[in-house]
Amino acid sequence: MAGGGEAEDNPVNINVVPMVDVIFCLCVFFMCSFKFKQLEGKFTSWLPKDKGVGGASDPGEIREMRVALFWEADTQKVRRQYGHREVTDDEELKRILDGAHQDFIKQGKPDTPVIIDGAFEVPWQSIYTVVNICKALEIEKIEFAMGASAGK
Amino acid sequence: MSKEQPKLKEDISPNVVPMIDIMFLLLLFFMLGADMAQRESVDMVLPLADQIKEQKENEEVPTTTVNVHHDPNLDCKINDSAENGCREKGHWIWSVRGITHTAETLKTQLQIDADEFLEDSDTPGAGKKLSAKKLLIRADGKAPYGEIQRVIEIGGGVGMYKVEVAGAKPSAAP
Repeated sequence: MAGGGEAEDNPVNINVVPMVDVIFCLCVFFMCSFKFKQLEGKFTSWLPKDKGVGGASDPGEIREMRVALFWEADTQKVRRQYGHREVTDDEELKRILDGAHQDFIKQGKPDTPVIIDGAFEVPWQSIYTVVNICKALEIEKIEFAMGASAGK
Repeated sequence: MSKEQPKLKEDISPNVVPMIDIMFLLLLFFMLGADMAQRESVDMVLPLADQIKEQKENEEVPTTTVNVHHDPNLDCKINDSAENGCREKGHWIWSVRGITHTAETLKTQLQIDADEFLEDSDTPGAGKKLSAKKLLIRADGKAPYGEIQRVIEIGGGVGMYKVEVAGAKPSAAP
């Protein structure tokens, strides 16, 4: 394959065949093990310092935007509700949360949190989608409701 | 005739230098692109979100990473085939630096990590020094929410209130 001519033609001829073979092997190895790095990011969520885990909001006045996510075991699907209204579409949820958030801003309560209240079995992606919508709407205060924890 | 023979030999000799150059470039590309660094993270499909802040490579804030993922030792076909994955509670595990934990051992591990970086002063209300260390939760997109809740709960219990949840940009998803 590589390296041409007779030895007597060129006295300093280098046999590159082993090198090419090794490079081929290395190339094959790296090509097979190659995987594009997944771009990772994160959402930051500080827990309340003074309440501790399980601290609840003041129950006297409703000052929250609660998104509830239920797990339908029969259909293996997630059911999402805002209040009593079922919301299947992400865009619809975005509109509802935006409207509610704007209302709270008008009332002088821009820090009103979105509470994500999910059942144990709800896939994390569904919860994450709601967080993503909140971030898109620049709602910074997001709370994860602590449901009944299943012991391990 | 005999004078021209060596010339003919020279002409048919292939020039391998460009091929070697290209192969070296290819090798360099694959070597640099290969992600062979040992990381705290377990290979999993993270939830997708376009609003996430990209993680900086050399963040100086100390962080403990808890991975929530399906047990790789279990041959669970449902997790691979079903849209929302496996819902069996015992199939999902927590791991820190490659070691699988139960609720008790995770609490012990996080307590050790939290105590390494305590804040300077007591936090009013909490009545103790909280940890300055961040808790990064890397959970599979199919993982049950309850598993993540439990990790947050345990982290909060040991004073780790700086919680981050990892995700992936949709365009970079495999």
